[in-house]
Amino acid sequence: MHRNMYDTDVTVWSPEGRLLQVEYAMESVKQGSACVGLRSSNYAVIGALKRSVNEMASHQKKIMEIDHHMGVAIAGLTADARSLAKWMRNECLNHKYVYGQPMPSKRLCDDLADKHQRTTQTYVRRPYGVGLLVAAYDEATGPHLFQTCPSGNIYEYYATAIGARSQSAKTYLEKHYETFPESEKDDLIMHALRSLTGCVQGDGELTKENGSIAIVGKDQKFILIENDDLTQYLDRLEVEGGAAEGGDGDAMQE
Amino acid sequence: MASLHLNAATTAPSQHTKYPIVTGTSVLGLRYDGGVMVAADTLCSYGSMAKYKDARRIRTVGPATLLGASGEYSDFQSIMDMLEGMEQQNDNFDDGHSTDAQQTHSYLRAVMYQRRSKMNPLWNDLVVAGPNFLGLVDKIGTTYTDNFIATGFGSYLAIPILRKKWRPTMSEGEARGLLEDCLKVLFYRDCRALNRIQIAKVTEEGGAVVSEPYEIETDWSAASFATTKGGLEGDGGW
Amino acid sequence: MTSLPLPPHSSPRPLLTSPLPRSALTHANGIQRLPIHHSEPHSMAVPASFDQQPGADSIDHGVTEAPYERRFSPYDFNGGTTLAISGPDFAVVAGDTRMSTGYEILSRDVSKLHPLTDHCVLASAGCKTDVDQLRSVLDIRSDMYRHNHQKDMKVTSVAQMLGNTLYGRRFFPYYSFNVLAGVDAEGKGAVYSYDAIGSFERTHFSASGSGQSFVVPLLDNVIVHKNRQDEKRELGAEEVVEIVKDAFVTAGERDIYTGDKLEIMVITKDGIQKSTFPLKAD
Repeated sequence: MHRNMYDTDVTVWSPEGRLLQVEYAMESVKQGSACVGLRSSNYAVIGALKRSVNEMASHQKKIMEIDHHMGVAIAGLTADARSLAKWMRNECLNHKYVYGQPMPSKRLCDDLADKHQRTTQTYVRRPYGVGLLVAAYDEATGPHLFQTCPSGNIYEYYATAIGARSQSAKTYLEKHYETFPESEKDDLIMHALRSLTGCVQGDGELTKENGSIAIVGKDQKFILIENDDLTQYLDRLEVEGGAAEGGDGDAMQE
Repeated sequence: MASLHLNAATTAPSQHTKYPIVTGTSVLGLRYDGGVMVAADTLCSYGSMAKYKDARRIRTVGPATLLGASGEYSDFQSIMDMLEGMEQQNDNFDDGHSTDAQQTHSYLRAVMYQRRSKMNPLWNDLVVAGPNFLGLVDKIGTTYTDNFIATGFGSYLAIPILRKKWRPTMSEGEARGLLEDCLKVLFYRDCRALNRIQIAKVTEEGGAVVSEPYEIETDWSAASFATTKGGLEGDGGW
Repeated sequence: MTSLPLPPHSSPRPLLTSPLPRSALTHANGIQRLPIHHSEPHSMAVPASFDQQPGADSIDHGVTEAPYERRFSPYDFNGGTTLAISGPDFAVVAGDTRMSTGYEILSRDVSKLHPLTDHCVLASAGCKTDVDQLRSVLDIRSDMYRHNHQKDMKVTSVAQMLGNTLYGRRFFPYYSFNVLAGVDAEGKGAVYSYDAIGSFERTHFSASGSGQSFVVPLLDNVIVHKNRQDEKRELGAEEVVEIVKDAFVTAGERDIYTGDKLEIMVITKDGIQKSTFPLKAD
């Protein structure tokens, strides 16, 4: 991305009608490690690849719980995501205090999008450099999967992926999403893992250290599946024989 | 019952409600087979004066919530404004989410508790009803849910009747009959009650509906109303 | 309308018996502080009428006193009794389900027990609106703890948090009398006893609320073996539950605010077991 004279302030247009600072922020999402999300008619699952700066460092957290019925996977600036997650948790707690029931996920995501949008139009602010996949389950409307962008756009999906090399995951998900509505919890988790395998950098592998999955749904509070809890699913993946490499999913059964 | 403080005008102006001025009396509510029914009369009193005889104290909030209020009528109107604002916000979001009776109940508790904590209460007892919900919130934020609820004088005069006659399997007609009986007793003995009433119901199928006000039949021929106590002629006592 | 002089009292009763000077007991806005402990005299505890004249009866039936103007009180007394007893690897916590105001029963099935985690239960009696608020605040704080530390709070931490939360409202207290029960990190039963403004202590057993004075002497004898010659025996959870039932039947006989139904929770390291037991509804 080259610099030009219209890209130093979020509130200044380029002559082509673009807000370059906002577009740069969108770029930072693409540089974050991959996150996938998918849902059935009862559950929503998010998965992410965690990075560590070197072998001696821990892996960066990629999935955060917002409330018992909601969680986010993040791609981009982790610090920005933390501040957004904190805000979302607060909104959920407030809503629960005032209305006695969990925050409706669409309501929160719309508010979240507005919060993003304000930064693109307000002096001395910068856009959040992070994209979120929000997985949630509402008692009234069932499971949901939303994607937010630094620009303030928000989309709802049956399945999607964001972050570095996420195209491979998207290809996988596009191929299989029609079977998702009837899928059981474990099937969704396996789909998430298979779609993630194509997003791993270079000759790396999806391991219990760098993999991260979360599920939420009907009679299922948000749970994070990481490390040893992830092993059984990775073992199944291995039995399948390194399925879904490159996202073509030839070896897929089910 | 708070007596009206006649010297209020001479004291320094205060933003805080320390006592109610224009008040509505009891609100009754009960669950029946298929829904919840709420009833109240249409009187608002100014101290002991029967000032407003067409004050509608039961309102709908959204499609399937009823709100009945006793206590300060202006505070009730301001609560309705708040709830209408909330409804408008729901419409504006256009996300299909609407606030149900249980959430309205919880919201009102939060409002009432916050106000009482500022020592500036909204002087009401509120009955909140939904198709499968009946709850009360009072002026300090106390809440409970029950199969039948009565505020004001109703807690003395209607609750004993309801305890005796209420059944979970009551039909709509039986429920209405029972509430009218209770309101009749209240009209006989509560000097701030009126025989002009409204009945409201909320069901899963039909949502919330409030009747137009109507008068209930009263019968003053009962011995205790017709005969002076002790049979003494002309002592004026009952 | 001038108010009539109050009838003279033969021996003027002091309004407050706290050792604090009179000036310290009155807020700048004229509000007198509530009693801070439930063992303080009833006349101070209920109802919280802020502008009461010294010597005025705390319950006015509307006929005995000079004309009065009803002032707003942010507190109500909704009654009820709670009790918790700790064992070697369990804690039993119980509360009745009656909710009253004045001489009225508002509802017969309102729980006084509130699980905060899978191994920790808060039992509270007093002013229902404050109890509800306190529960909400604690729920929010324990949720935030869970988000920040990725684990549930230990009973010891909940105990400290409750103390801090209550003290945070030192000058406008939560009018709630709390007993906290659970199992600690070692799996031992833990019971904590509180006053309304956050002073607390880990105890063997604790009872709180309107029937406290009927329950405590009984448990002093049966649980703690005070003033007894026979050998003290370790009681199992089932035996303790039976004692709890007896204690509430006893309290329900003499305390008008205790009755309708008893809710019992037995907390072990494996979780919370709930049961109920009918009490008299009179």
